[in-house]
Amino acid sequence: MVNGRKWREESRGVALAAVSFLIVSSVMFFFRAHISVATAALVLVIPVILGVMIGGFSVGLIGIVLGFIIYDFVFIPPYYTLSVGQTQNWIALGVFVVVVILVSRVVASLKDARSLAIEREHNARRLFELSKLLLGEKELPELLETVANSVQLTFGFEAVVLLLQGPEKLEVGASAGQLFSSEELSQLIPEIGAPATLYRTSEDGAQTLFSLALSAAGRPMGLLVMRGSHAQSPDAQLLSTFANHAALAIEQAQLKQQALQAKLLEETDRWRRALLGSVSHDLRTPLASIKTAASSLSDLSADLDPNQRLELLDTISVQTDRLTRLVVNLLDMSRIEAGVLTPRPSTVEVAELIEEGIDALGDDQARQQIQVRSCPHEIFVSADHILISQVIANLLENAVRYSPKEKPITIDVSSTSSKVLLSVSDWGPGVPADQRERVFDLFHKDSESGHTGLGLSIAKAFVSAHGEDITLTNSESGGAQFTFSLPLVPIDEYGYIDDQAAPDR
Amino acid sequence: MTKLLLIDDDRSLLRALEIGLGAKGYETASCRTAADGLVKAVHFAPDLILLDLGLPDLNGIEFCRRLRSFSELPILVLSAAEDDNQKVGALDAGADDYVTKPFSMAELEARIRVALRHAQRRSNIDEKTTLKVGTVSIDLEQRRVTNHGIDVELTGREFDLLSYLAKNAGKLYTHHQILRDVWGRGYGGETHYLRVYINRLRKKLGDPDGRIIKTKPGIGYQLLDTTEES
Repeated sequence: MVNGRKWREESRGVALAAVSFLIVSSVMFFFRAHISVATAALVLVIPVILGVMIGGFSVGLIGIVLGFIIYDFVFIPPYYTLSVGQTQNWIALGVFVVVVILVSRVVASLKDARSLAIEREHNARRLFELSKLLLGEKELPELLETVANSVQLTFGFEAVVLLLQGPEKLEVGASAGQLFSSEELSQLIPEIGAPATLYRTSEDGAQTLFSLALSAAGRPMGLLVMRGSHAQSPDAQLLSTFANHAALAIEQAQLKQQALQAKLLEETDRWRRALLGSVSHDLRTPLASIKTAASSLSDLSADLDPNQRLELLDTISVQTDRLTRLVVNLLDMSRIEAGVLTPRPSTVEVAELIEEGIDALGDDQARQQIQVRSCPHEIFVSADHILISQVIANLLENAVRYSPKEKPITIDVSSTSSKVLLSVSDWGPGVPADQRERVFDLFHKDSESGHTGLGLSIAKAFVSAHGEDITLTNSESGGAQFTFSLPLVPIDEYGYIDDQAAPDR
Repeated sequence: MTKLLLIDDDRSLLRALEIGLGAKGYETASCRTAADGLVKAVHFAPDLILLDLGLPDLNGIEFCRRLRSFSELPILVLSAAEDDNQKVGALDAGADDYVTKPFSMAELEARIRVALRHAQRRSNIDEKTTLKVGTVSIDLEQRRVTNHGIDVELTGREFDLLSYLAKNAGKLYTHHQILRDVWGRGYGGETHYLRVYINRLRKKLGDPDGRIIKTKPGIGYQLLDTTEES
């Protein structure tokens, strides 16, 4: 890039010099008889200077040759020959060459000084712009990207890679531009304690690798490696200043990330303890009924009639089911947390799923509350029937917990062209709009009753595992209404299941 | 017939308690919310309340506080082990004792009997001048304490502490309650004072293992409950 610009300037300088030579020589050509040889030499200096101003000293050299030829050919008698003739003319020619060389030198150095000043100012502005990018609250990965990208763009490297000090060795933090090959990268990783200056590591044909150590407050942070063309010499000072700024910013971001992680851990720990507390409450509640019933039954002095005995035995059985369900839920939850939950969908009838869900609830008394309001037969969905019947059971259990005993809990089914919507509504107090999302939270705990949201968060996880959604709204009665969707499996006009159309999962 | 009011939001536990306690000759009424409980405490006029701490509408502490504003009915708390703070709070607010879930009917009945006895004793304690706890007798009027008939020298505060616990032998007092009632308002957090006094009392009463003055770790103290009274 830098070379291209120089070459462009030079050719422009040469062109300008050539054009002005043409103009001044043509003008002087007509007055050739009236002007002295020395005057012509003086005038011919102008085009060379113009060329130097644009293209630098090298243009001056071309201009001298050009001027020399024109001068000798056109303005020094005998004309149109290279012979110079009189001694006086030799002197004029010699003075012309010396003057042009000296003036070109001066003009060229002025030009260089000016462009240096411009470049310095430009660099200062770029550094400011670059450093501005590092400010502000950036996450670490974003910051690393920014550093790599801005180094690449600002200094015109082909590729930039930012290596960060990992636990054992340097690791790639971010990269910009063309990718480094893994071989190249392995060569790049230097010994610890590389000097914090820009140095060329290797020359590979026309390409050169530069590397620069990053350190913040003397602590090594990593390495910035850049690939560019052979002739390229980046502004070392600008680059290392920027690298220092970047290192400080990276350190700050790392510290912030660490603090955040520590806070997150603490939070998780706190919630785990809360969860443990409420799970133990949930375990203890059925145990309390079982123990009470069993100890009444075994008390010989208790005056129990056969019906009461049966009721106590039934309590033990129902509460054992409840405990079992809780244990199943806990196991499911750990499966979800371990990430080993994969639904195995098959084509099932919705009515069958609902039946299984109600069965899984176990609680006979609660079962009488449940009304399946609208469930058309022969609606098929693609679902893992074990997971989905668990979802239905969990939703029903939640409804039973919050609904008054005498009010029904309703299950509704509706379908669109591609989905089946199942909903469970109760007559409980409902959930305020701003808390509806939190209800599915694993750590959500009903602050008053101490019940965990385990069942609901499992329901959500199971439905999500099917790629579907579960939502909570308020029912017409003001109670809670949970609705989830499942993919519909269409049946053709002959009543056959169109398995091909079933969404494959 | 002894009347018990059961307050718990778990339907099946309520039912099991109704049957179990009914079979042992108690008359029961039950409800699932604190609001109902407060109403029934008046209309049903029970002899004792069994209270679960995890009610949907009001926490147990608040229930105890509200009930105590108009009634001295004994309260037996049914608690899960994890709500220790709630338990202490409920005792501070006036509950008499607690049972941890799950409990057997035998344990529950024993606690019910003790709590009922306290209530009875509380109503006729003032006329008594001498309380007996095991081999220890406490003369409230003379401020004299004897163990096996031998005089035990106690400081004023030690006597106050012992007689305070003895007036409701078997009732579980929290650290906070004891400090507030024996040392006076403004005390409450100084459990180390209490520990020192209790240790001194135990030594003087020849009770180094805490058989007469029982420690409930993290909660408070309870004096051995014996039925002997004179």
